[in-house]
Amino acid sequence: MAEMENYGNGESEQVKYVTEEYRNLLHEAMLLNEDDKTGRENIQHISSLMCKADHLIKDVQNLNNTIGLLDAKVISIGSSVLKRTAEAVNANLFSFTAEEYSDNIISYLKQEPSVTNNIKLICQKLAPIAAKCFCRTPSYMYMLGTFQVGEVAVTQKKARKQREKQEEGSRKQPENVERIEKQEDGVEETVHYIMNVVTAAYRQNKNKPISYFELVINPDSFGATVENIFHVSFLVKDGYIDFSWDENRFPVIAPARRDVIENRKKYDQTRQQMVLEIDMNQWEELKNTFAIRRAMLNPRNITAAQDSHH
Amino acid sequence: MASQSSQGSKLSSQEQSALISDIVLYILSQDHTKYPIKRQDIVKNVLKTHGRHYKHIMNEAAHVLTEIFGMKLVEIEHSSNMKQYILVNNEQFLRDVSDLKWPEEVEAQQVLLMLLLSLIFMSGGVVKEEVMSSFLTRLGIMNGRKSHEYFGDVWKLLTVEFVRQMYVEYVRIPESNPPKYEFRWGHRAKGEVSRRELLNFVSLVYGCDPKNWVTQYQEVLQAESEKEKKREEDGK
Repeated sequence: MAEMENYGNGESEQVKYVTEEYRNLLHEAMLLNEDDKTGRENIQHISSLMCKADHLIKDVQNLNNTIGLLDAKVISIGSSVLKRTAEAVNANLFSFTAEEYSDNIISYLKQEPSVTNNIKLICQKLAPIAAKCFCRTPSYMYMLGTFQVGEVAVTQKKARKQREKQEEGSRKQPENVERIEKQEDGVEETVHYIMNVVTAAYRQNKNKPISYFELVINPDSFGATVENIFHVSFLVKDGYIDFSWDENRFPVIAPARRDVIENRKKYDQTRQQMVLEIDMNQWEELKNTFAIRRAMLNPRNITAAQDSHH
Repeated sequence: MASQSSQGSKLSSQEQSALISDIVLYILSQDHTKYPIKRQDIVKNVLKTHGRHYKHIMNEAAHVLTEIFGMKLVEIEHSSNMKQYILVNNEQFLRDVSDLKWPEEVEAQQVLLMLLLSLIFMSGGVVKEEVMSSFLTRLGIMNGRKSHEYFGDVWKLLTVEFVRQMYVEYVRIPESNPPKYEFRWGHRAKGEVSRRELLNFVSLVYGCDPKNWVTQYQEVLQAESEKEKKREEDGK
């Protein structure tokens, strides 16, 4: 054999050579494995490979790891090829092949007189034979078995819906806050507007106090009247308007003088408070007594008043 | 008394029989998917805090299943820490009641299983996936990945559903690159399927005597004697 000629050229040379030879053997074995053949030649090929390997390893004095690993690999692949070959041989005893089997099944099914080319019918024909092969247990179902599962699913759905709603609510929130601020601004604007009306009316009345009820009462709306009273009370409280009685013991008001207002702010004297009670009947009565036909204060004019300010 | 004993190590006979019947009902209801029933799930869903009585109660439940329902509870050692069970029906009972009617879906799956399990059995226990797919294609059952009008998606049944139900094992051939797969019998097939009936079907198709298949017939006899031995052991 070829490898014998090089024998004796020193240990390292020999190791190199044996490793190289083993690599070749491994390569051949892998080719065989990939070939996937199970014939007689295959077995002979493998046995010659094994013989070569045996021969090589006999001459090696110092086994190193590389040769050991290569040897193990050659044997592992060789045995897996042999195993496959053995399995094939075993089945070949009465020459069973998948092709023949499938052909026989088809021709068997076509023999049956009632069977046509309909695949479904053919398969159904096999069902009773197939059932005999299995010891299958029949399915066992509770009549109430699914109820619990249903309930769980429903509660899950509800929870999801609630979450969505909350998200929508939080998105709207910033808008709401803005609106509230606007309303608060509105109160201030209204109070300003009333102050302007009072001042104007005072001047028109030749700097004499004006009738409180004539200012406040809105002949068309009790609600607007109450609102006016409420707004004027702010002015009274903060000292912008002086409150007094006329000769008939009716309340009259006049804008306070500027220096008086500033003095009040500085020394923080006791504040004036106005408590007034009014109901629908009194409102009607006052309306008739003062013969009020038109409201002096009209909240809808506020925007117009604002425009004139700017 | 009853509440005391549940905390202690012993169960009252009432509690014990309640747990046994719960387990029997649980196994019967879980069986309809044909997936194996895990020990873990039985403990979690039925026994709960009585886990330490598992072995005793399971033995009793298996006894009830055999004596009353005529079914055998087969334990599968999947790995050391994961026990699984499958239910197998009584062979004798099925032979006596031959007109048991299965739903169409089950019928179709049984036909398919008979064909592929017999192929594996006749081929010596292993079939490569290429052989399997060409076999089914030749029979007109499989056409690429197209869904069959009677069987449905055959390849998915083979490689997913039947594997989960433990009728077949679909495993990679070691050291194959690119990966190649092969089919073998699964645990349920070993417990549920009669090799003799499969061989009878093959012989019917070939028009020959079952004894002509020497190797396979030997295997039938061997499997039957093993089953007989096991039955005697269980009986004692």
